[in-house]
Amino acid sequence: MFSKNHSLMQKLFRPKECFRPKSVEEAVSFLDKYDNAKVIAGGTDLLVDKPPEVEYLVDISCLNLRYVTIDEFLRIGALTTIRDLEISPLLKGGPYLAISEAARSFGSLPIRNTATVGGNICNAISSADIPPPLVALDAKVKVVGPREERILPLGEFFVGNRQTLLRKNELLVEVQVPQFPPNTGAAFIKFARTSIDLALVNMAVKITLEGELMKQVRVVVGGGVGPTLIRSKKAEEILENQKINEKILDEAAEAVSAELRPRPTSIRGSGEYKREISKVLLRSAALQAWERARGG
Amino acid sequence: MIKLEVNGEQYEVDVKPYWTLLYVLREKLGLKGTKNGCGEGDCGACTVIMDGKSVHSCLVLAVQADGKKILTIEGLAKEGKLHPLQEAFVEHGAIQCGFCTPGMIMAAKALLDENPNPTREEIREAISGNICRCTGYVKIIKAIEAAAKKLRGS
Amino acid sequence: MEKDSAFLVVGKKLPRVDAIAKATGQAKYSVDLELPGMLHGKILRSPHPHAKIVRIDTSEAEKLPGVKAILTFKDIPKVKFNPSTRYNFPPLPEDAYILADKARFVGDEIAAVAAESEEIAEEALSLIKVEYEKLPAVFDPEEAMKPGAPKIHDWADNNIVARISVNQGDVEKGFKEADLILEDEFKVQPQHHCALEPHACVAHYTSEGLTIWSSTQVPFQVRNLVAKILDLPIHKVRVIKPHVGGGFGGKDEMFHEALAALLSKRTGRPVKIELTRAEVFSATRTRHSGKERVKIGFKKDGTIVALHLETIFNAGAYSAASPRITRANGVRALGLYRLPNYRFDGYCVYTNVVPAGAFRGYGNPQQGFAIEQMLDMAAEKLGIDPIEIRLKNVVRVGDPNPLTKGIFESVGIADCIKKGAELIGWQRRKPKIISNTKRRGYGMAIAAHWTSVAPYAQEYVGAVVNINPDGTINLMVGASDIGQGSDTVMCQIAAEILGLSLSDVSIIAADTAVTPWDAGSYSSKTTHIAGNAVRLAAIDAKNKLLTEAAKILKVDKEELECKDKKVFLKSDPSKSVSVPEIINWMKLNSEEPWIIGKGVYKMITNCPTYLAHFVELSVDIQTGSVEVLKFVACQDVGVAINPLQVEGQMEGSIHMGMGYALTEGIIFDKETGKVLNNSFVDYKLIPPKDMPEEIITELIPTYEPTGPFGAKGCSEVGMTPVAPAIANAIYDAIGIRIKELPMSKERVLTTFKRKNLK
Repeated sequence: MFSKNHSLMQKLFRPKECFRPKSVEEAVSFLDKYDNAKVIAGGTDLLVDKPPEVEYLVDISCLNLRYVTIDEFLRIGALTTIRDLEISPLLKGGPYLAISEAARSFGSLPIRNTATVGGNICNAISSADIPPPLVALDAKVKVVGPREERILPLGEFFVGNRQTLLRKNELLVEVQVPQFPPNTGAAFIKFARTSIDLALVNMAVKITLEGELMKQVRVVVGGGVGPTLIRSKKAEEILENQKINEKILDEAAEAVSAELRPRPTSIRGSGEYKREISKVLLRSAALQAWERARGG
Repeated sequence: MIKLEVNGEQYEVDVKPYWTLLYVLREKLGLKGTKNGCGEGDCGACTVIMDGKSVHSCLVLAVQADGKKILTIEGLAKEGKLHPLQEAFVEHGAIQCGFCTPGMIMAAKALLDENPNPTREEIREAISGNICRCTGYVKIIKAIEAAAKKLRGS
Repeated sequence: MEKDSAFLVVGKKLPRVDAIAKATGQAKYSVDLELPGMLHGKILRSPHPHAKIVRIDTSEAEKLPGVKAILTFKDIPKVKFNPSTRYNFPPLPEDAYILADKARFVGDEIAAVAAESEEIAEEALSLIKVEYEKLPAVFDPEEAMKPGAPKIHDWADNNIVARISVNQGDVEKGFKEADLILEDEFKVQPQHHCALEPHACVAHYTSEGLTIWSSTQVPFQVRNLVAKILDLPIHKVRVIKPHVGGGFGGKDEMFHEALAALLSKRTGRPVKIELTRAEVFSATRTRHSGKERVKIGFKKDGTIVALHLETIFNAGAYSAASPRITRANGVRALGLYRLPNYRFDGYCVYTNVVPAGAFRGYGNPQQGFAIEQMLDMAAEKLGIDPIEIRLKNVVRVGDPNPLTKGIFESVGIADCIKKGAELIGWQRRKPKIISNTKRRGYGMAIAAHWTSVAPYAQEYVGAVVNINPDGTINLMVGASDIGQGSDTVMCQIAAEILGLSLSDVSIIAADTAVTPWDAGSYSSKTTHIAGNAVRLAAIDAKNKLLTEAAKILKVDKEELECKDKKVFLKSDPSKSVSVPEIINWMKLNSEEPWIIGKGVYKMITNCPTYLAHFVELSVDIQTGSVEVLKFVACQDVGVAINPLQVEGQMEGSIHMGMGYALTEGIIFDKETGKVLNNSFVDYKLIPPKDMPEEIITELIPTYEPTGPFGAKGCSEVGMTPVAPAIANAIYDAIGIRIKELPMSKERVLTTFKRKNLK
């Protein structure tokens, strides 16, 4: 319900050693060797959570994983900071704009300067802001283990609260986002109690238009909406192959809202309120994505 | 053992793996100007500038500060002459209890270093990681605007 | 006292005397202090809301290298006390020991450790084994008062800490004369101070005495309590207040000073106790939460004929200042409105949650949220403008002062209201429909806040002015600057009297061994009463200076004035003698060869400060989001000694009041009563981008004859009108009344939807 850190007993976070590997292979070998080893990148989640079971830290901040480049894919290195995403010129137009919007809504500036994309993904809390637009843009992640590399769809990566498909001895190194045809637009909206807050509900919508019809739609909702973010295939089905109009936006809004699985009670907001907000966000985000798709 | 530069001086410090930069600054280097208001990256009282960017030093592992250049509040005034931000904060009544002040000034400096002519909205964004319980931010924003103007003028 | 607008220092927007120290990071707070050999103290807290402590096994913890002392109940003085005890106030229930005899809330203090480092102390805590016998617990005050509820303190039947009644006139008779009677109930939440510096103190117990540095609002109070608990003569206990990173009432009592002192005594070394943010949220104090039931009777023209206020406050696990705050809550309205028939019935009740205590406003915001909405409700029913109904009922100069039996001598509320209305554009409103999802609303509310607690207790304070050989002065004042700027105000007053500039004055304050008595920074009284003591001390010093100068210049004292370290003839300023020359002359020629001015002031009246708030806001009818677009505050502080600081207090209290109104609130767990949101992640303060784009503060000058240069209190009143002004504006925007705080986005939307379904 709220971060476990805030107990009156100071968490005895006492790792014995902090390794500073100089290569991905070296980092992975530490993760493979030690049972209670944990990666630290920016540290903005780890140093708040202070998990007492961590015995070894693997500091990957010196690895060459901080980049935003584009070839056949948009490639985002795992150590790219949220601030890097916020200001990257590659994310200022087209559907990638939603990624930059998510980055801008994230935390506060000093947090954005330090927090990393890899960290935000692997920490895997449902209110994370960076995953929804990436999932809406069909992103994949590359993870490296001691014996193999895997490429996994980000949409399937989150399996539970703070649980991902990442194995104990693997390191996430890159996010790969496909390119999209010109009439594609995406939008990200975050709703919270105040302007500096974890998302109560956030939403990313991507729409590719063919003429007047919405051909490819992705609707991803996050926040306190369930153990993980939710891709609302029902909402996507309602919108796909349709011209945009108020009626189907309302239908899609109802569909998203029905798919939420929030906790029955929460100090941040009730499940009912989150459902209401998800409807508002769907209408806004879908309309905005559609307008951007039309804008070309 | 880490080596870091703080306010232009070189330091070598033996650190434990779980110590933060904030702990090192305050307890090992005796630089008490940077404050601990929450220890969790929410209040900004621990804000310093590291390699040109504002960061919450309570969320920087000391080990990761190795090789970095840090600027704290103690490094702003030059030979007793206040930085225009410090002058503006003093003049405009932007300081009441003063506990948020060092972190707030560092956040403002980081902003003005990158953006010498910020809009009011950009100022509000830049200090969004700093809690002030005394001022309601009104005179803080005025002071940052005044300092920006002075820095652009000179 | 003379009215004089040609002041040189008073009334000027001068920078604070400690601003540069704070801007450079040089200012030292309690958390920054380090003494050689200093140990770090940590506290073991109860995980249960109500439990007997059966056994505490500290043996493992004692073996940990670096642990120097561990205290549990068996080791502490069996002296029961109330940490809010004030020397000259009516007594409060003494229901606490420095470590708990029984756990009464999650966070209650069970054991204390002193160790070489914070890390070792933390680890020692994890090694202490406590065996508890859990008891049933209760978290709601009305439940706690029922027969059969768990008994939290042996002395308190039905867990009632105090029952307070206030009566004026005859409310039953008044209601019979009413044309309109309104009755309603409002709920208010526990708010947290969130002072940015956590509670911290350092104690050093030696054969010469005990010295304590503490982040406190009340050093003299702490001194007296520590002396009593540790059985020390008062002169052996010295409490020094360094710079304080905010208090707001959260540091208005003794917290861990006696415990730190005991650890220091045990170990022979200085001991620092600094709380974590989670501890500050969970285990210090909150604002009183509870219910306000109000019944008001009006005449057709809006005149109030009777007002009955009933309050139930959740006192939490210990009494602290609850009875005082309940009483204060019951007399707030008497400083603001003419209430010929008024009755207050208030209860404060023990429950197993963190205790409630002093918080800026001290019972005022809770009743203001209720009464200021009901006045709007009445105005609507009677077809009167909300401004008119206030103007009709507010007190005027010359009205009898119900607390002091004197009269109100300065009342600027009517002008505050009129000016505020003008500045917000009350008569020139922008359109209600902003967009198809946003609606605009305007609202207002007013408040008065008593300056000090007279006549509930006799407040007095002292000050000393030392004139140095070079004509500069050292000022010694007991008053505690906790960030509100009292040090600067005291210096300004002394400088003005002696014709000096601010840079000629240095102040030492709040050191119980050196500075004269001051009960502490609370009840908005410091400028008024400490300021008066400083004024008298400066006048005393000035008199002595002029007396000697008169001898030197061979004129009558009345012909002389002093300015810029010179004393001169008013009629011919060229005839002068410098202050250094006077002091020099005195060494050889005077009975007393130096000048010390002494001032002692007793609070002789109680003069409220007045405030009107006006807001323009928008409500998003899809999400319940409330955005305050414009905020106007007009305040009567008499004369503002430092208008820059007064503005700062007005602006800061708008922020804090908006938090109370919209986003803040401690949330208790239903099963354990523990504070669920004990961090800034979930205790939501208003961030900079959510503050109104336009904030206008305006001072409405009056003149309080009993105040130094006409000044009265300033800093608490701003907490009260914010929430009702916003509530009234929300009603204007979308036609719903919200009677529970905070008016979160969810609460606004839920209330709006519920109304629209009917």
